[in-house]
Amino acid sequence: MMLLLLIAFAVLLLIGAPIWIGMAASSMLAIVHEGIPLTVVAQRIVSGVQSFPLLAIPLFTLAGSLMNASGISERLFTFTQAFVGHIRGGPAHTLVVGEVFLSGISGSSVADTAAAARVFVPQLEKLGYPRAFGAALAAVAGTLGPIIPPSILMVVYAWQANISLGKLFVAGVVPGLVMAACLMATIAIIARKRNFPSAGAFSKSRLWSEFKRAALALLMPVLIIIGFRAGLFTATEIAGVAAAYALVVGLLVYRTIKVSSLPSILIQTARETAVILAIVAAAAPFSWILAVGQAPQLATAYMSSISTDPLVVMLILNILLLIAGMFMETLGIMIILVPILIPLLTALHIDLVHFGIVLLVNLVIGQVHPPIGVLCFVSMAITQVKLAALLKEIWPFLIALLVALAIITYVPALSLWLPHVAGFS
Amino acid sequence: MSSIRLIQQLDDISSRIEDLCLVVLHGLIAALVCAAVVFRYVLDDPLTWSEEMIVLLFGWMIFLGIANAFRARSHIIIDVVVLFTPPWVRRVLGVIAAFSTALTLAVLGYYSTVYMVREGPNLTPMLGISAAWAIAPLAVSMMLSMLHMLRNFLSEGVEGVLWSDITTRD
Repeated sequence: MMLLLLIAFAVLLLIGAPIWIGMAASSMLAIVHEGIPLTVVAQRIVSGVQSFPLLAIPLFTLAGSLMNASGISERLFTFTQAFVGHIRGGPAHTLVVGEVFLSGISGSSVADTAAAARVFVPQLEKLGYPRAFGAALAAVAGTLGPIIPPSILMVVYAWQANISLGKLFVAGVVPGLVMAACLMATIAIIARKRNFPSAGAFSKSRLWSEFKRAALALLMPVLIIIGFRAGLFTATEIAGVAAAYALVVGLLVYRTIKVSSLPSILIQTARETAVILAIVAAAAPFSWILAVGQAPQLATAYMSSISTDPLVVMLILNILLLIAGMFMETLGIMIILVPILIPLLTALHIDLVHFGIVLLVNLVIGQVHPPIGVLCFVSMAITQVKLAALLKEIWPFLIALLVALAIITYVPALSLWLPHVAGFS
Repeated sequence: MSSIRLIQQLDDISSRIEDLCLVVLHGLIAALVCAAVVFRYVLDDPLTWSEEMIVLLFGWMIFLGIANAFRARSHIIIDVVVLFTPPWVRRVLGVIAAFSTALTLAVLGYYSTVYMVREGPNLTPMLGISAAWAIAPLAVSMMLSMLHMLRNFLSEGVEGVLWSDITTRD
């Protein structure tokens, strides 16, 4: 049954059918093969999305979309320019630091990359940076989106692994900063080697005025973390409050969102959410068949026969996830692999929060390396840079991200220290 | 009126209704989540029915959104093979992908209707309405998705049924 499921799924993926259709169709084939009524698939698909915690996805997405529509990405980038623009390679550093702040609002790597490519790459080009360099940087900086809270992928992982979303959100902060630091170190080396310019002198008064312009946006991630830490609200309620906050800021404070633009924002967010949750829904029968076929037990037994050392297992999983990320879409990998891997991780006493962060870092690296590299394609589409030129500029940053992955994997304290300090059990 | 024109008009009307429903549903969900917070923490009078209602609306929003994404050809696909194949192979793959997707939608639509009819007499715990309301969006979504696929086929040809211009451009 499992073989039929996997072969049918692989074939449907390769011919270009939507991922969720591949999951649903292969599940139906396997179920018919076993003589089980097909209403089971419909039942599992419907119950797959009848989940209150998953509601956090459209609400966080809505909060991010409203913030973006209010022109906040531009405010954040001008603030970070006043902050780090004066150092050598400052404009490039600005893009990375700006993405750190933007990630604290949107949670979508594609939206973050698009904002950076649109706002920042033309400015970099004006200052004498090659456009391909800016395009590559916008793509790699977008990887910070799902690691720094709030993050849509974290909502899905916390739901799958049955762990606290608040704890996972807080756990992503330091690893996100480690990734940003590795990217900035790479920029520093390249800027020195290629003699990239800064963006003018430092001014305290400019920094203060830009901070005031961006302060309301910078407050949102802080409110989210406080909401989780207080333990009063569910993740979905916090997402709802974040969306309401973004609406009030955009509509009444900045006055950059028009009421007439709200329907298109709501439709776009609903569609984006549906595309994600179609996969989550279709994964319900798919994972059920894998569970009936004892795939998690087989994976645990197989991995245990290779090694029971958590360090070795994490190394193997990193390699597997990086390879998977080369050929498969981020959410699809997570949806299929997490239920299979959880029993193995539990048996080896690997912390599920730490693994969640490692998993996400692996998956976001998959978003910037060929052949899938969705963030590269987003950046290329906006900046009109050719793939060959972008790949030539992106490889030092890919190495930087791999270094960050190794550090985050083998220093679990980077993921677990902040949740501990913040009082998450 | 030709049948092609009729399908296009039907698709336009259903698309407008879909868009309106998505706006209303998404807005209602966000408003209800915030209202539940206010009633629980500020007024100390929790809305006992809100969670069930929100999850029900969420189901409708997701499944209508799935149909909407077929119209916009924005479902997530792995296009790495499609991108690197010659045009005639791409057309063949397009036919197979579209046919298998339509078949899956039809089968899911049929069995979700069977499931909906079976569960119809059961009532939901808090709202006390028929459980069929929670299953109906899947059946409706499958029907609308097939209509959008047909429209895409008529407007864009076989490669435009599922794939966006980015996937199909040479």
